[in-house]
Amino acid sequence: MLKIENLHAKVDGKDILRGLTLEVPAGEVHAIMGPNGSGKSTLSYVLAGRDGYEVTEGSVTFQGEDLLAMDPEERAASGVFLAFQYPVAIPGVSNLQFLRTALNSIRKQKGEDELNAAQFMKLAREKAKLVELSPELMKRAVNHGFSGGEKKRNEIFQMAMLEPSLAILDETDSGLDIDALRIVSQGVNALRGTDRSMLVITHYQRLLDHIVPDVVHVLVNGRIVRSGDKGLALELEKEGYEKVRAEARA
Amino acid sequence: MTLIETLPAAPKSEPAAMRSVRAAAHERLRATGLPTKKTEDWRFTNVAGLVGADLTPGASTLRFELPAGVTRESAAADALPGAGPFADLNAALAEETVVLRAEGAVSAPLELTYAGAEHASYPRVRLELARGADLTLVERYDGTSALTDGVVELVLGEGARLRHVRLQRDGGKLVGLVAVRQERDSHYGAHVLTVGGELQRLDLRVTLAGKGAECDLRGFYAARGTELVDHHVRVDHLAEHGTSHQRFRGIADDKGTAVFDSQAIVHRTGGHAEAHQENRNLLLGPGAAVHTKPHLEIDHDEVVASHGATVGALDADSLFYLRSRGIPEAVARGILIHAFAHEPLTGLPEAVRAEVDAELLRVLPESEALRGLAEELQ
Ligand SMILES: Nc1ncnc2c1ncn2[C@@H]1O[C@H](COP(=O)(O)OP(=O)(O)OP(=O)(O)O)[C@@H](O)[C@H]1O
Ligand SMILES: [Mg+2]
Repeated sequence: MLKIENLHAKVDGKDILRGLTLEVPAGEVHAIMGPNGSGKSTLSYVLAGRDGYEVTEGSVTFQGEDLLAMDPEERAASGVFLAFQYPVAIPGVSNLQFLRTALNSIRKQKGEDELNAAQFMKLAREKAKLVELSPELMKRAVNHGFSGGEKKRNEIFQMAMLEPSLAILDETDSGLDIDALRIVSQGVNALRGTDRSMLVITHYQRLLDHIVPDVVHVLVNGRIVRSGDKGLALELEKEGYEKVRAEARA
Repeated sequence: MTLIETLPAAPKSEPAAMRSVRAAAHERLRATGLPTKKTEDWRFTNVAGLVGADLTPGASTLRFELPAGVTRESAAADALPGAGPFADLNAALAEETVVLRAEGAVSAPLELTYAGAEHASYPRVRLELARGADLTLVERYDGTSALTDGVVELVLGEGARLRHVRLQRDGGKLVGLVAVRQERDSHYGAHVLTVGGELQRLDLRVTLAGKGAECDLRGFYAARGTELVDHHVRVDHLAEHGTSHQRFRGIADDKGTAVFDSQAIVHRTGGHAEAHQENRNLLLGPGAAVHTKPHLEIDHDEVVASHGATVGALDADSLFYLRSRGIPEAVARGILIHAFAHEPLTGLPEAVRAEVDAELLRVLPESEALRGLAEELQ
């Protein structure tokens, strides 16, 4: 599904990703853990195609295609979805209006028929239930005046609506209380499937109790320094990043 | 040959008081002339092109029908001293002053339409709202004027409420003054939409003369092509417990120039005032320019005030967020520009909402990409 090879990327002239290699087969959930500033969000932005992130070396292949050659909207249409660490509030643009435009843009790019208002609303109500998002929040301006938890739920709601084949969740658990964590995880788990892969970025092992990963990777200094099964997350939780850091230096 | 020498004489038939108003305006104009780039309030707005132009007034371009509750009164002499050279030019050359009076709750809007013509025109309107009156006024500036130099005086009696919508879409040269005087507890709400025209200059001046008067001034303007759009908004708090809000937004695209000058002045007699000024601008074209200047002057301690002015590009984070959801760049830009433009226009009277939406679709960049998305979702 996703194949990243020797990826190097710069932000503002600064090397952040330094030879990152990672493969996520279809249907698998991979977790990425790593200390602050190790490049986790940078990786997610590079994959989603944000301006200002300059790839200097390496490649990213998504479903056999060169992902880095595509515009952000083309990536979305071919099935990439990023749940933002800090979702953006957009006053004046209704959540539903936005999402319908997004969904229909993607359908159009894929050569599918657009959904009319009634079809769209039916789908939206169904998916909102999944993350217990109130109709009132659905209608408000995008993330405007939303609490931290509401924003994260809104991200998962969008993911459920757009049904991506690769979902990248950047710290979707941070700032969530235990109830919100349960709700968000339920939403994510409901979307797991054989044709859908996920890259779950987190600081905390507790998320991985809810969303159980197939593989755990540790990102330090712009590189994957260790990979293992879910036991690795527990180990990191206990011992901190010092040991992997030291290994990485060695 | 100076401008003043070319000014035609006033009609002989009118009352003596009006004749003296004209003479005084003429006199002031003779002393000052039309503004130049050195005139403080006209630094960015060059009207040199008008100096040699034929300013002779032609037939009246103002059309209106009076709804029940609004009557036409005979013209009384009135002058707006110190209102500037174009107000003087208007006073000197206006064919007549249309004086209207509203009483009680008027349900239908009063609609004034100005058909911009190839000749210069000097419409002059005075609208009085009786104590407790309630009215919606819609002004439409259409056509392509050689010059429309208009003066609108609005006088709100005690407790009166006026909602004023001014659609400035004259494709030519439009210079206007709206002078508002508010008595005790009156409420004035303005929505100004300025969408195009070679030269559009509006002076909106509100005097909160009575205690507890409140005004809410909002607007959106667009300067495209080589257009010049200039708004000067000024509120004077003369009496206590006055509230004023100024909330204007605009875009400058292509080689357009937008000028926004905002003043709130709280006089010694205007304590316990609340005065807010906000002006935000989107600079979209590489050759476009925005000049914005908020100015607050306070002669009293007890004032709650805020002011801010910004000029910027579209927010890159928002743009990326939309695109990351599959929305093509042009559509994403269109969505953000429309959201930006609609914000100050909330609360528009129902009667003009569709018309304003259509104007925005017509003038905003990337609107093409948005057609068909306007459908409401419930
Ligand atoms: N726009 C930018 N300009 C300059 N440096 C940046 C920029 N964005 C990120 N960085 C730097 O790149 C490094 C990696 O940042 P990134 O946000 O990818 O880390 P992260 O692993 O997601 O951290 P966190 O756990 O705090 O979310 C950091 O040192 C950060 O300061
Ligand atoms: Mg991060």
